[in-house]
Amino acid sequence: MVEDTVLSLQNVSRAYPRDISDTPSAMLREMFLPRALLKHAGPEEFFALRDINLNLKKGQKLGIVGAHRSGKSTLAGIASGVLLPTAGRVTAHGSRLLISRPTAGFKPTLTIMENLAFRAALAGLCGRELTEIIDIALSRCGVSHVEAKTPIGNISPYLVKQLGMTLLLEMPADILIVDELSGVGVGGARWETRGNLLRRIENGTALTISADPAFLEEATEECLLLFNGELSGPFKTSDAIAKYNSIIDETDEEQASLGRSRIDPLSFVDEDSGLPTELVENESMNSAAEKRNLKMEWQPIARIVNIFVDDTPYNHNKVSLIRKAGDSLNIKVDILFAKSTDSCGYALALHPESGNQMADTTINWPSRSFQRGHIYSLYFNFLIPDVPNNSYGVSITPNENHDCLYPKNRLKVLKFGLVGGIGKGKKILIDVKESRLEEQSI
Amino acid sequence: MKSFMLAAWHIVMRDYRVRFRRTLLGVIWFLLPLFTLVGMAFFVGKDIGLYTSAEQSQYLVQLLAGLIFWQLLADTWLEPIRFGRRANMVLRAVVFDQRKLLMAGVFSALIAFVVKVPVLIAALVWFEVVPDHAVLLLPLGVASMLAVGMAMACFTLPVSLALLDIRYGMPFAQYTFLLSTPVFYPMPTSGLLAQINQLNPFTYLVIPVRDALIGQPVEAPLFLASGLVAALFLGLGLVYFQAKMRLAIAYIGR
Repeated sequence: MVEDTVLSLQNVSRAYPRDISDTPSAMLREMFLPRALLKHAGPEEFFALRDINLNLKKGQKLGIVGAHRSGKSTLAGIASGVLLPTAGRVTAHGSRLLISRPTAGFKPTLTIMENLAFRAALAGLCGRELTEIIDIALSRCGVSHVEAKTPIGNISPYLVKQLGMTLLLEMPADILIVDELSGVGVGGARWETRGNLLRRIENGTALTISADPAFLEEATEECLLLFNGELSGPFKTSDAIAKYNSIIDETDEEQASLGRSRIDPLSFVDEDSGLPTELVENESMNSAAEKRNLKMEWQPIARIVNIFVDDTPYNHNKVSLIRKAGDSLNIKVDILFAKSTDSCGYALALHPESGNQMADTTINWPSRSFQRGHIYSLYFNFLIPDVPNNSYGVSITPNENHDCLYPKNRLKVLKFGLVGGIGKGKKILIDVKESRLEEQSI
Repeated sequence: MKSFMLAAWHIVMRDYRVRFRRTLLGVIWFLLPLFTLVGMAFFVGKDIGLYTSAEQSQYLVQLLAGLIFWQLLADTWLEPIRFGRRANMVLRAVVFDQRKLLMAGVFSALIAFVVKVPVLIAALVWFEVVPDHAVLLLPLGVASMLAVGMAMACFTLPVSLALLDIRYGMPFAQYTFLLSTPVFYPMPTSGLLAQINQLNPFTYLVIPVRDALIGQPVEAPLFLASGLVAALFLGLGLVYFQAKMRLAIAYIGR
């Protein structure tokens, strides 16, 4: 380890079970085998992080950018010492503070004071230091000592988060690890906590792990790129973000040919309301019509009205589909569009019971207009792939505005149970044939 | 050390406030299960031959002492698991020494024990039970029980974070150990039950401590041996805990 390096990760790997049903066996394996034997992933496991090497120097502000489910929180946990890797080594010179979940441990029936004291004591503070930190957190959030005796369940959740975050930012530590948090609270408080966090990063040594490019540009000098569990870089932050934005187009040729657009990475969604933060924060947007229009933009474009499988009406609550690998399902989905849009195709995805997508494919059609209030019937033949025995779901996501795929537009179509499947460790290929679309007459 | 103990204390107090703040009986809830078990065993025991009329007072004191000490051991084992379950998100998001959960379990067990001690002393006074010199070994016995309870928590707490089987199986394990320990009944000298008692490690922890308190004959070497084994077991447990706890935390929320 180089002399001024304060945090070092050497060949760090972390494996997880591929499917939630494999969690007990994976857990037992980790609990009963010595760590030396955990270097290699088990038969039902995959590497969330693989051979990560990272050195953080004193005073450095290093970032890591990665997409959803790329292993960011796992890496933050390992870097901060909350988690242990299944292989590799983590060395830290100095105390570490993880900036994540500022209200973790808060109980609604306990008072503000009790909750803050608990979190501070857990981090190792006591006596005068503990009292001072709580006083600072209360005064910065405009909460008096009398008000601090109120149960936390009786105050605004935004204020609770602000209190938690302010307390966190006051805790002494040599190394800061920021896990996807850039600011909490609403309106001015969000910007204040964001500013305090940036100041704290500026004044110390920090590793900022985030999918928010705007925050990374402000907080870091260099950035690493986390993709498929592997780190590359470091790059200049702007270059890392450019590479991050280009990854989706580069990894899938079909997606590249479809010219799929991504959601603007500079827009982000308020974690509490699920609405874009511009809606939550923009207090000058007084017009109800403006707010309604913005809300409409974030509603799904369509919903399913009817589903037929092999010419039989399908309802997942009433019908159990049990199939074998290689069987085909003739599916008809009647879709009612809630708003008018142009579309040139859809994505079809396969999900295991845990809900995470395991494979997908895209089906194109010549660009056409869909009218609000009209029903369109989508027909396709779906071949059951050779995957392990489990329950699976099929979803479709129609493109919006020609070629934009938004998770909000995902429509769950059906669930089926698979028997006789053996396809472990093989790349899963989704086979969809005879896809056509017909507009139903009104 | 001070901050370590304070943090463990905060874990306990937070839990007690959440559990008892909106109750009328408060910490009296610690005593109700004890009184229920003692009452039922006392009323039923005579009919099923656990004691005779002449042994009534001796049985009552023995039962009370045995259950209180057994519960001390069981609480030291099970409380950290409960705290770990209630601190799920804290474990995932806060950098802290997770051994504080083990110490919190010890504190919680001792608080519950201290609440019951006046009842035990009252029973000893009422029934004129005079402890002999073996009572000097009591602190060693109690320390051994705390060490073994903590060691068992070291092995079961990490696994309990991801496997619900541990949580569901705890009540069964608890009652199996309780019924296999000669607390409700005198230890037989032969037969299957005697073998079960002898194989049950709790027998060598709880019964000597109980007997030391109520003036029954006790083997001092057994105390010393239990203490040594308990210390060794705790050492192994802490090594396992440090190696596995932060691996297990990764499964919280998965």
